[in-house]
Amino acid sequence: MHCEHVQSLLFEYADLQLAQETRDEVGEHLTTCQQCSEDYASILEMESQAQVWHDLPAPSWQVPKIASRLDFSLFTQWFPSLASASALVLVGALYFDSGSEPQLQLPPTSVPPYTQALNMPAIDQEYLVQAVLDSSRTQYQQDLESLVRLLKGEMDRRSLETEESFRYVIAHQIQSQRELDDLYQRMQKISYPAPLPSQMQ
Amino acid sequence: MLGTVSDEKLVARALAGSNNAWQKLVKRYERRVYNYALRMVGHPDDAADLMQEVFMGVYRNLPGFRGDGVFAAWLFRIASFRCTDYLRRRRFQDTFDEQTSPARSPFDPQAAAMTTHANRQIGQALASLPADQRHVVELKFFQQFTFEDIAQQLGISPNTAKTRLYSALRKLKKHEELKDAL
Repeated sequence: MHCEHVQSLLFEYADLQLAQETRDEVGEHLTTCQQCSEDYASILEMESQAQVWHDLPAPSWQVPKIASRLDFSLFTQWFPSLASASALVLVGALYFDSGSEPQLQLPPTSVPPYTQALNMPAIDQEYLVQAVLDSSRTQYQQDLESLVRLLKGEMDRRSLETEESFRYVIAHQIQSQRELDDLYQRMQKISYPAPLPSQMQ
Repeated sequence: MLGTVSDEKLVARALAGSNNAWQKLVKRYERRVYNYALRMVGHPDDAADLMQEVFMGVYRNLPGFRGDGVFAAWLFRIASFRCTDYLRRRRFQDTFDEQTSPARSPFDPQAAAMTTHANRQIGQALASLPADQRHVVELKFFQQFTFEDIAQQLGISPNTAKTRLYSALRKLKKHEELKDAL
């Protein structure tokens, strides 16, 4: 028998779970191999150590009271679906929000209609684009923060089922952020139209 | 007929809304989980926190227990997960605390109310192991799970669990030799 094979059997050997023939082979190997013999001694030593551990009593604590049958069944039935649906709504909201008008907080006189914006001086257009980008960033930051807060709250109550849902949300959130970054990069590359000759004068 | 009600029956009753069954289930395992936590984290306060986290995890996940396995194995799967998470958080916290306060020992068996000499010795030996090896030693020798159960609980293969255990045993042997030499 090789060491590798013997070591795969040492725990069963220690627990007397091997057939007699295999047991004899392992025993014979142990008389000739120092490493396996030491490993076997370590197993026995650790087993005896574990037996002398003196269990301490658990400290008293407030055991939570179990919910009623109705609550449990509703929880089981609806919570995974609700968690998934909430996650999808959040992701969807973040996607669709990228197409909506950002909520600018500019003074009324500085928010001209879109058509008029094209005729604005380049410096004003630049200001407007920057304001749109800033607002968009702020909006996304707020969305992200609220999502993170929600995720933290949910993670506190996490369960094996909900963890999968959150991984899904986070993956989509990261993708949304990447798309936002990409959009931001593209908007920064937009060249502004040259001023009209009439404006030059 | 007088006798011990099985874990599975208590789980079923708890799921049906019996608070009494739930309390019995907790009482049946809290000492075992607390001592598991004590050996894993080394501080009685931390162990108490961890024990509560484990049972809160069990409480929340009880509806997901399908009853197709042994309850103890399922419970310790949650305990392993919580413990790993706890040790990770503590490592992060310790790293953070090093910036502002003296470093805290990651494992302090002296402070762990290890009331007997044997407990102190075991605590010190386990403290010399990295968390992943300590985990395997705990589950194999103290909880007496099979390698298949350990593998499932830790999300590794049975062979990896076995290899990790041999590494731990060799490290413990060196630790003992070093202690004897001092």
